[in-house]
Amino acid sequence: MAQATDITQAYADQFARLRASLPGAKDPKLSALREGALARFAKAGVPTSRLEDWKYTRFGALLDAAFEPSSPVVNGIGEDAIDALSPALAGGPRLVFVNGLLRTHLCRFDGLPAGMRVESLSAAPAGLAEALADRDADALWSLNGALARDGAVVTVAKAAAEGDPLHIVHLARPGAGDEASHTRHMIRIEPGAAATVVESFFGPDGTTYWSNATCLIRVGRDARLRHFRRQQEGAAGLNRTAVRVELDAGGAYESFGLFLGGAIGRDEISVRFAGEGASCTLDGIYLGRGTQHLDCTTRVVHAVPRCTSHETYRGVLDDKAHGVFQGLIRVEKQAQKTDAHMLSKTLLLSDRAAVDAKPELEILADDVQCSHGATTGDLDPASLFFLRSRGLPEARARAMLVEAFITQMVEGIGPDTVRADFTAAASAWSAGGSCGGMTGGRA
Amino acid sequence: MLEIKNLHVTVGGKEILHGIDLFLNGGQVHAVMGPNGSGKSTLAYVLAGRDGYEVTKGEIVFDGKDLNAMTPEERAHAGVFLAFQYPVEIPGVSGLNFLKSALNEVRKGRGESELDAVDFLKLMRERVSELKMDEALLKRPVNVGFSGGEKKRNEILQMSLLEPRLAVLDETDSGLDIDALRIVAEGVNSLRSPKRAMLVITHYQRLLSYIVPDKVHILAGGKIIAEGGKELAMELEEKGYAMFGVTDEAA
Repeated sequence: MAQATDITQAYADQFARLRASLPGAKDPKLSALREGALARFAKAGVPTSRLEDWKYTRFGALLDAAFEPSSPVVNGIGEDAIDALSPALAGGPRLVFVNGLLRTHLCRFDGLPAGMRVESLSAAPAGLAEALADRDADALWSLNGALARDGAVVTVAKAAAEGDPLHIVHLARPGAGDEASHTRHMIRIEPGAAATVVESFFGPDGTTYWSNATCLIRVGRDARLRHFRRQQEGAAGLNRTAVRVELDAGGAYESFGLFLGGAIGRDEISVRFAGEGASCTLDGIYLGRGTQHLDCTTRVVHAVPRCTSHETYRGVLDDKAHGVFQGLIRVEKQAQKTDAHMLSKTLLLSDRAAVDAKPELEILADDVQCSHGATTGDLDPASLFFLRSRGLPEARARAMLVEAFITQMVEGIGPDTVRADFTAAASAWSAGGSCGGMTGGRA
Repeated sequence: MLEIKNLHVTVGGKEILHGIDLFLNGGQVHAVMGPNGSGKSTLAYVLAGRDGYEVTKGEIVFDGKDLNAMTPEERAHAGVFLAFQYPVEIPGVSGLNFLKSALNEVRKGRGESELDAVDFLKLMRERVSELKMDEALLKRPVNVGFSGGEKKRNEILQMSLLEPRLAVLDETDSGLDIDALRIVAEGVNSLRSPKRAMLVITHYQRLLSYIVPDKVHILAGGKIIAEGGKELAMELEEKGYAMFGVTDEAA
């Protein structure tokens, strides 16, 4: 294993090499933001399990070497290939990032909802400074800030009605070595507006690569964002997706994640209530087999009164897969009338599968409704016996109950196209399909 | 068709059935009556093959085969059906999908061809209307949001679709009001046939006014303590289990 200082130095060298080509390089203020981000990363280093927050998840490969930026030039990917990854979403508006860069010829701007404006971070739009700001972010968020070459800046205008979901596809086409892409998105929903965004992550099996994506979200007064994420990286892929959400009064943020790909995946959401009467729903399901490691980490801070947060996470783990659910709800002293609930349920289908569930409540206010719970277990024996007594062979009865456990989460998804997409992905998993996203040649 | 000989069954290390003998021929309906804790449900579960119900002595022969050596699904394919006292709810599994899967697995197991969606729906609709069920219920997840009566009717629907050779009805009357009881009993009676045997397990005589048995066995303390014709059930109704010197908490 390399020394941690060697790795941070390698990233510093990488930054020195790339900085002139990064968006906003000519703007001294933006350059300073980038330098600050790099400095924060260098100080903290790649997170190790010595950190409480990273106790259960170790991105081993990131501790061995610095990942080089993946090649910006990728040819030979057609629209059809992107359509095939998510047939149910193929007709709608979409942005496609390949190796962290927006590929306009694969995007579909027709059908963008009225009031939704989409820009590329590489075009250095007005929001770039905000997108690069990363106060109290962790090391990987900061590394992303230093090295991000592109991302989507999505703005939904005041009072815009909800249109079709915007699909943001992240496709990895790494070269042979360890390569990374640092994609940085920002979504701003202006007061009274509503929108749906779906992020998907795909990559080839067989190559170790790292997708380090961040998404900064501002939900304005009485606005609403529905945010879906489907993490289906290739079998040796690493994914760390971090989402930071700030909600104004009456705003609503609804997140649903389906995590079934990659060798190691960690999805982090951090929600901060900045105005009263706002709400968030954080739902997720992680499906692991083989030696996969899937981590869902959430942090919800109730800083003002009368906000609601509901979290439901479910996991299904087979073989030697390892799952992690870390959920923290913090209720500040002034955040009276908070309503916060968190539930984690995990099915372990093998003796060697394991889950670490750590739901945590930190409550400083005294007039609140808060709860958390975590269950882990096998399939319900009574249900299994019932199905078998009706003639279903044991394997089929088990598969039916596993699928039901997943279906209960997925069937509640709002937009029909997203539900169809997630249902298909989950069903393919249940049927034993490969955990990887797409295979095939690379440029 | 069914021969239970000197059957001893242990659950969780404790012997519940202490040597049961019961013979049931095709076309017959037998009732097993007994107070709470007598071992009635144990008998039902052991016939269907539930895990944890261990036969320590004796045998169960069904159509000449050793039933105890078979898995629950093999028993279903061979024609054993248990109508559950407490039908389970299975959120996330649609009723129709479940019924179609079960029917086709059983048909496969019996060497019959599987039904396609059209033929399945046609058959299912026939049976649903015979049982005066609301078809919309089957679009819901299995038993989720069903009333007690709807759950029991759903059990009888499954029985009518799977066409068992041996139906075991475990306290199908429990939790039913008189109208629901009548509908369920009609459903059961319509399935009586010379090729099919039924074992009706019940605490009360009430159900047996609608499903008239050929023979009644009284089970208490894990043993059959009396047997007789349908009039035995009537007598029991009048005198209570005390006539056998048995106390019954529920009576």
